[in-house]
Amino acid sequence: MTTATKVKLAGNGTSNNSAKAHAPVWPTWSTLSPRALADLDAAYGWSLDADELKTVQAHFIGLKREPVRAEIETLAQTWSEHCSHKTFRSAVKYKEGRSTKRFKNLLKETIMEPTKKLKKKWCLSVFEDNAGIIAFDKKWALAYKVETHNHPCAVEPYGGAETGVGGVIRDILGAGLGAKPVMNTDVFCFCPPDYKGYLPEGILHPRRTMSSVVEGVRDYGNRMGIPTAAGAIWFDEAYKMNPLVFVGTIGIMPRSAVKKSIHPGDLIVAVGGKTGRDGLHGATFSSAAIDDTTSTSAVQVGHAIEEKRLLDALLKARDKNLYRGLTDCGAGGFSSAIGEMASLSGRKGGACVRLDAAALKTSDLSPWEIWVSESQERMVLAVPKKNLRALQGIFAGEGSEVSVLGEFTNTGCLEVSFGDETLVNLDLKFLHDGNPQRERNASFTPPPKNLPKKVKRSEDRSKITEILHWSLANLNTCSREWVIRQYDHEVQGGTVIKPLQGLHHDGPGDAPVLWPGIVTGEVENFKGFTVGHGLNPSYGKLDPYAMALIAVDEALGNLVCVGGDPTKAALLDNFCWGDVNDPEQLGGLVRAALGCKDAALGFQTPFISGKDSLHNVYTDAKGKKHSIPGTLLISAIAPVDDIRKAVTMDFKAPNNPVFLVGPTNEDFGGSLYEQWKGTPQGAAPQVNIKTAKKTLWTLSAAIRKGLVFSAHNLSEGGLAVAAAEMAIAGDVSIDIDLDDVTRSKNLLDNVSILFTESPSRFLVEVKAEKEKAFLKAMRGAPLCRIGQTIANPVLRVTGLDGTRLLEESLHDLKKSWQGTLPRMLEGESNDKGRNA
Amino acid sequence: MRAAAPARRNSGKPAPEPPKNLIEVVPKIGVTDVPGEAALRQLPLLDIKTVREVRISTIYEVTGKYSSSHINQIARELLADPITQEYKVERSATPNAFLMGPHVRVEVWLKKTVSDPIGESTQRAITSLGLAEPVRVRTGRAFHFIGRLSKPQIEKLVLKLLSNPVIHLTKVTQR
Repeated sequence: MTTATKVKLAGNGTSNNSAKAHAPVWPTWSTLSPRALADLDAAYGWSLDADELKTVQAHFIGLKREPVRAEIETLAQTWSEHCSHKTFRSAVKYKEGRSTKRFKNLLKETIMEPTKKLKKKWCLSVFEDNAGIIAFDKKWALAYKVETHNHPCAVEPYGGAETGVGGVIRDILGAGLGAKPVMNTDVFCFCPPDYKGYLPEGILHPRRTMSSVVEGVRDYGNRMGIPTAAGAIWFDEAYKMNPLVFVGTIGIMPRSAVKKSIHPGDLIVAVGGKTGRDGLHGATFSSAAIDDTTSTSAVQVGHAIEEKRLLDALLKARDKNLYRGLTDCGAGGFSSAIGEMASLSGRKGGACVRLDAAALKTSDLSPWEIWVSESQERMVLAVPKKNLRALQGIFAGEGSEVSVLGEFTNTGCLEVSFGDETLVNLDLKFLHDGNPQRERNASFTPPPKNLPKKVKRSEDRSKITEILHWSLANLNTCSREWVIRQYDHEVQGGTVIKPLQGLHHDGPGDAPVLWPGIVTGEVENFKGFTVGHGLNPSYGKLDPYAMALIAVDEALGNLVCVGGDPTKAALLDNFCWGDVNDPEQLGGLVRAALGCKDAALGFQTPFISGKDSLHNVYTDAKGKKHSIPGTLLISAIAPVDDIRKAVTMDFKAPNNPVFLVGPTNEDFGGSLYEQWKGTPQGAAPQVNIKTAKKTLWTLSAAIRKGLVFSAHNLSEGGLAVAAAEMAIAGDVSIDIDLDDVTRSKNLLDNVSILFTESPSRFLVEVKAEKEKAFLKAMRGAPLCRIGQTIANPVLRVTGLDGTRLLEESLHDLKKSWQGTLPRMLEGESNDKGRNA
Repeated sequence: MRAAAPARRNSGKPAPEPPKNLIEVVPKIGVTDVPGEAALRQLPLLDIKTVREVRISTIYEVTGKYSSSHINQIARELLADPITQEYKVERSATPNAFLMGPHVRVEVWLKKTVSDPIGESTQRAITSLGLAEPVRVRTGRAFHFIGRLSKPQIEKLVLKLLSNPVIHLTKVTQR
């Protein structure tokens, strides 16, 4: 770089006289003290820590020149938590009780290890691309990705949710050579919408956050014509400042499009939307904790129609082999996308970028702003020169922008210029591997083993009806119809099993089943797939390890219920954690990651992709930090060999035997009953992986043989809630005899049997004439016949002493179950049970 | 708009801004205003019980030189549904009230720094009608509250229901 350029760039690299007065004068880096560097970082909003700033300073002193603003911006984006997962990939010293364990790379040694060990042939691309890719059949592959968009949704829920969905859809478009999105998923953690406590100024009320997030997911998915068919919501007051929004997309692609490559000399082509000032510093913003003065420049609004045009043009170009590689412009914009792709070009990697050609929304952008802007709906392609004209033709036909920004090289350098100014000249090795690694401390105090003094649940015998109504109306179990009905889950015509199931299409399904035949054009092929989720932060408060096992167990269990094949299931992890600079918080994270590892090895299901969102912390006016409860979402995907044999959860007909599959133990820690009672009820449930695997695998085989009418996974509220849900959905009820429930010796009373939340349990209705075949198929798995379905629309339970314990009308139960969300979100006037 | 930054640096004063045309589209009286009814249902949750009706209209600010017949064409053929909606056109001023009688009107606009996807789509669509491309199209919504409202209540409405100060600008008029 010439001296002349240096002088010019000393003015912030600003190429025009637009209003940049707020930015401080660009200083001489080499002479700055650590303190001054930290001040500079705060003023520019890079979220780099002291070690990183020092490393950058030393790097440029070594080069004998001063850094330019665009270079620091590039480093800040690439090294951000969002782009590099620096905490999860770092070395960790983990203390648990008296033992200490050292990880060199936490992610590699926990989540990624089972995948490496299991060596499943159907895992086509794991942890390397924008999404995990598994084989669907001989010709097709499925790409699945789940992302979080928490910080933007806290500030502007509608736009945050929209751009979150848009981003994860582009991840699927950017996986391999691009997959066609066939389904969206959404999982939320909110503060209850009827929250009445204190909220600091500028924090939106949870009701507003929730309805706006749902609107955002709805509008983006519906407008792009992608069904939103699976999800979950969890409510806890701890999310009042930091709502969690997980959005996922599944795409289908030919297996030939799984691998991408980039050759030196390929053109760097930006396609899709234009670049504007929106979303500057989104990546670094996501590494920062929210406080009373959170910057708002990171807020964006999505443009679904623009992305739809991009999608249509891109898939046409893919099928004509017009490009060799691509990635989406997410956090960090061009700087991350091109920087990431550059490292794939040739042996050394490299890219030469000229930003003059970028299509802009407004003319007053500084070059560095173009470079790091996070404007939505953009992607970067690597296009062989000879294909450019054909590519331009296709994109013009869809009305989508194409601009050539330079070419990939093999120089080992990322070079960016605007006009005659050099903006960035960075060594790729330093950019991608230069960030300082430090060992982080984590510690975990194991939960106390001793149970609280004996709780007498038998006393609540007379309150069983009340507990059941309360459980059904509880925010974490009640009907999600208010949310689900806003989404188009039918578009593309492949949703075979829908999110709401049963006679009136309003029962809580375990998982949807999707048939991609319309997309692939193979209408004679009845293979489909299903997607399930597992999430329960209340177990995490007791023991993150147990939470991870239960989440995997629940996600797989949901797949099994609808007819998925668990032997070919793949998992995705999403960690949302609080302040991981606090060793205790990081300890919980490590323990959850260890749980994921043991679960994946135990169930023999590999992880294929994942993402983490850390620093979900709110600092109040007094400087006190409030972390969210450690939250782990497990998403699972599995093929359904024959969609015609898929099963829903509603009871189908009277006089069929009903079986409880799986072991029933005393498991009340973190349960709904515990919440109702208001007193601690012991430790979190422990999954016995060996038994759980046997149960899941055997039941799955029986379902796929067509022996089962309906199946439902037991979760919050245990047997009582699951039985009520199946009855409500089918308008066919059940008569249960609790004495028939095979149970552990310490379960002595009716209340405990009805409401215990032991994991890996299922309620299964079997065709009367196939009872024998079912019992034969289930040999070796724990199960018991607990009653039969009845035509009378009342839920009946007979107690251990042979007397009638519960007789409650389905209509009333349904009313409790359906009323909660409409009442909280739309006011009292809608408090009516519908279709009951 | 390619590489416009250096071009603009060389030119002297920016050209004067073309005129703004405001088109406001409302549901016809007698037609159910679904978003309006949804907003009305939210009011009791904010402890506001004196509003009888909420009507919502969409405002398009089209910046560009157009004859009044062209602006009417844009409103008629592109923006308003002839069966359920009606429209009003004004130049560089807020349209006169649609409603007779006392009411509160709250206009909610996206800030200039926030991109406006609906505006961008409208801009393209105007070109598709065969007219010159507008310099810019911005969209906003106007909420009309019919009933008694105190100043603090209006403030609460604006902040808690209608807008997010992070991305919106609002304008309140009481008639």
